[in-house]
Amino acid sequence: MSEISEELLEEEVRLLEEQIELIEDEVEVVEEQIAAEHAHPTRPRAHVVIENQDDGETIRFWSPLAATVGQVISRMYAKFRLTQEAGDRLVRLSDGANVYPEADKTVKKYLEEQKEGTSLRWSFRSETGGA
Amino acid sequence: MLAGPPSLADPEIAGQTFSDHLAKAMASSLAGREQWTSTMIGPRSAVVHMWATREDGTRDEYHLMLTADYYDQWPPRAVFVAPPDVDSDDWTDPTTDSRWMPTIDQQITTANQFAFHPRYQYVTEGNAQRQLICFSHSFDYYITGHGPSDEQWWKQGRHTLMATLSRIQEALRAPAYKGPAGALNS
Repeated sequence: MSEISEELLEEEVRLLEEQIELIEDEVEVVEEQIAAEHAHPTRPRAHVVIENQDDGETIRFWSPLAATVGQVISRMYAKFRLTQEAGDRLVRLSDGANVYPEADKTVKKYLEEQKEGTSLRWSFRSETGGA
Repeated sequence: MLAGPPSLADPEIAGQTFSDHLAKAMASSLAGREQWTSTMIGPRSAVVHMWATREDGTRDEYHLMLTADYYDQWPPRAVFVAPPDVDSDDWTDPTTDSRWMPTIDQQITTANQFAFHPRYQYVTEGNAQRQLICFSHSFDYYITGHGPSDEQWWKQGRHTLMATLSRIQEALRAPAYKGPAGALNS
């Protein structure tokens, strides 16, 4: 392939990547809108999005606001088909805050405290060793 | 849990599993946010192009080669590489003062979870000195005399090369990441 066509190909790939990024941004906005609509008082629930950094899977589900954060965590393990292990890490995507200590709170209370709308966006991973 | 010395995987199965897991990792939310891209360089190896961020916001590109000869019973081998010269197709082990070798502060990354040694003595290879990304989702960790706890072992089915990439990405962020080791382009 000539040098010029390689450059054109690279440019095309770059443009496609930019388009993918724009689409991903739009998807995120739509997800937030859906979450906001479903947070209506007559349908009190929260949108949960959890990324598994051990295998790349992302799960999404609705949680009643009256459920506890601990119940949401249990559901996460079930959906990932995992059992909890010492050293597992579950953090808020926005600031890396540990979620496990919040297990006894209701989702409603947790959402009020985190002041980030109606979505729970978390990141999960297991422990590693290294030195 | 893994037991005994590593044995080579069936090449065809390892290649297919590696390819499937790489595709899933590259489609993940984290890959999108961090702008990972990848280049297959063989049936069981790929280079993942990643970005590191310094304290002042400066971003540096790195290339991480993953090799899957023992995958996925064992984690992939992971090493930072320098890009090929103009007259070559080979991705090479960077020198210790290379622009392609990151500086990662072990005191910050750890709590004994991750370390990076630009040069490490491989006793099993006649004391050869080469790079070691030292954590339990990297193959070389297991052939350099390290002993993880039960929770830290690589677990086939629970961990994929995504686990390897996500931890390395964590280490490539400030405050742990300090910038390139040097200025040499090799």
